[in-house]
Amino acid sequence: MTPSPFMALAALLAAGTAQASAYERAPAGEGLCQYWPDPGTPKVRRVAYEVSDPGTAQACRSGGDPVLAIRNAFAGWAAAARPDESVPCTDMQLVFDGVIASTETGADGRNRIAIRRGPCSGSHSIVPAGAPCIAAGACADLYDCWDHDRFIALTTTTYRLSTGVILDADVEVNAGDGEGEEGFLLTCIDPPAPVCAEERRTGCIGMDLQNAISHEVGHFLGFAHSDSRGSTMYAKASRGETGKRVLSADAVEGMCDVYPRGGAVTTCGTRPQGCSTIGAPDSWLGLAALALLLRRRARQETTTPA
Amino acid sequence: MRRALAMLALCVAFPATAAVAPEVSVEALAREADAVVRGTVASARSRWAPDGRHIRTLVSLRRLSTWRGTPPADLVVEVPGGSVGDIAQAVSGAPSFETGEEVVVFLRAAGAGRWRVLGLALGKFRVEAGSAVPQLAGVRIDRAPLRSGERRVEAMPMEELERRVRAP
Repeated sequence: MTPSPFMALAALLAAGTAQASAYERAPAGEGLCQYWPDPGTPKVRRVAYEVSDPGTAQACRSGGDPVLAIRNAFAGWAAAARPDESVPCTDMQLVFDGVIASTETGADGRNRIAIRRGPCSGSHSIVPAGAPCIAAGACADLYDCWDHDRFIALTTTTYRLSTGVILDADVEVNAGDGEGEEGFLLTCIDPPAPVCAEERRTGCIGMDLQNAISHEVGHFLGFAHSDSRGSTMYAKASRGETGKRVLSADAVEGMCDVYPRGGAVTTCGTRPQGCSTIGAPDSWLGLAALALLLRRRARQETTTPA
Repeated sequence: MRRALAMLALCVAFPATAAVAPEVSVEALAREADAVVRGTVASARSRWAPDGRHIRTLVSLRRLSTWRGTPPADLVVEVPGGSVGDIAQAVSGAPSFETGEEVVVFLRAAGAGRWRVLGLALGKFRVEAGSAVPQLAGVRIDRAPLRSGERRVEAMPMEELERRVRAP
């Protein structure tokens, strides 16, 4: 039987699905990935983070401790261990450096988690009308406000284009008391609990803070989305979800590979496949094979008499 | 066959870091936007913000048509992130622009003549062979119901996008 392009495409997509459990890394430029560099002396792989205090009161409206939720999210990544091993496969230490008053983010060498208190603009803005920062577009740090429209959370990484070395990473979360323009209802209580709704806003799970931060910490560490539904880095979430609190197998593999205990960081800068990780060469081989097959089929179609 | 190969090229595109956003319709974005324009990117240059901690990219658009609002003729859109020298800043979910690229952008007036893309990557479509295609690789969508008859931000024919944007 002659394989059809569609069968080959299906096979390739199936292979892609099988590989989807692999982790992905965030690109940093031509064939480079983002990563925290190896330590100098003493040889302790350590990245510190701080929690910006003013906005934390906006989180956990349904009960619970926001700082604990954030620390648990980081601790989950630092404790990455394969199922058959009792100790973490990574020696990356993600160190909580305290709660600070500053609400500043950006490239200052301080990695921050900022829970923004409300929107910087619009009818629900927490910035006073006429504030000079509005014209300059610089209100977010000054008023601890959310300046990214209808998004729930995002991560900003600053890195060197020439190497991919991360210099600074900050996570911002859009906290508030609404859905959309006013921010989002963040919660911290543990499951099982009902999902928050219009008529139920306490004792329930809305946008679970630890769930959201666990995903963002992946970006903080230089990982990108995974296509695998069960992954910590899967690109979709829903209200009431807490599954990303527990690090998924592909995320564990990512930590084991990129920041291995006692080993050098995997920069991926010398890999021809760029930032794709496990299985990527097979993907490219599959793509090349399919391209050849399609080309051959096209020739057959154009040269076969009717 | 070209179409199949193009699909495969999309499948192996590099991933990006991501931001989380709830589902939104084209119509909802249009209602919220101060302007929606179709144009080509004349230039894009990055610089450090006055605070010295954030990089912003200024994108000059050559306007082809205005679908909504009354933006000025010379339109400069400010986008978070970019690169200056050897330092790059990636803001997850932010749209990227290439010189010469044809785009449709949903804009918000940010004061003092500044314009920003509404909804970061959700508010930018690339025009490709008669289709409008958003670049959502860096966006983690939180599924939510939309108003009846409205369409989520996703690839669609240009004519349909324009009709939905111009609808009241």
